[in-house]
Amino acid sequence: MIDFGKYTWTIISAYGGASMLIIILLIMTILKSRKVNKELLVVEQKKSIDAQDD
Amino acid sequence: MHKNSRSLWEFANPKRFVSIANKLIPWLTICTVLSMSVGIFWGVFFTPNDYRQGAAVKIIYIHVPSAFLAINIYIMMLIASVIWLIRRHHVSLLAAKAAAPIGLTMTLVAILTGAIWGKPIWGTYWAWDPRMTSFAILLMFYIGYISIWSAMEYNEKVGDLSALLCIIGSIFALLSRYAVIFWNQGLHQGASMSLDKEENISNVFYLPLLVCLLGFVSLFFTLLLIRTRTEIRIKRTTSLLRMN
Repeated sequence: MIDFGKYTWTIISAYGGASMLIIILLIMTILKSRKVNKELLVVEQKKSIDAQDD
Repeated sequence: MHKNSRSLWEFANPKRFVSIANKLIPWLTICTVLSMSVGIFWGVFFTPNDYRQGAAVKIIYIHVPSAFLAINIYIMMLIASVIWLIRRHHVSLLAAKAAAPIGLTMTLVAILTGAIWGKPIWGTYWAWDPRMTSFAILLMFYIGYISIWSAMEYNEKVGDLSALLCIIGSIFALLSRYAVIFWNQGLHQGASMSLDKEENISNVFYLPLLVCLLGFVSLFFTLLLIRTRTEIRIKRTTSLLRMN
């Protein structure tokens, strides 16, 4: 059990709030990276198919 | 000399940047996870309470590194923006754009943890103290910088505008750094970390703080590389679609 006396909730809320903000940033970064990578792959594939057809 | 400077600028080649980023990201991720977990665990559970602040001192292990990054990310954005204005390297502009949300998050973390710490120690969540006020203004500049990029499509004029805003905002980033030295009044105490050994906090707090700082800096570089790589890919997708 985490016990820091009268500062227990102060410490838990500080670490909890900071972790939440950093996790949101991490998730947004990873999701956007995956989405953009997929889009680029689709566009590049389409481009190479078009080039072969020509 | 000429050969060296040429090779340095070759890193601004988007393809080369992505290939280097792909190699570095896994190592930086490992460094981030290890140093953040060791630093925070060491700091929170294996350091004594401060004789005045009690256990509330344990907040420094996230407050100090996030405040350090909030200021220095803006300085990094300033350098990248100046490189953009002088050399017109798109990768430097994209890196500045990619760094802004990380800087905003770090500023929010620093303000939030500072406020939570301030209530039991100072008796208030917020005071219009020089350092806190300059941090609030820095937060506004981060929001303004991100808003410019969100409102308009990527082009050179937007790049110039964002670089200009970055240069103006850097005054407040520097003020945030030196506010505790310029003005003695205010609630905020002096810097917890300094190159001057006498100004540093005690080693028992300083060493885990250094490990946490390493973790936060690695986290920043990991996220920066991922986000810059994403921005490069967005730019490539857009130009491929325009060619059709």
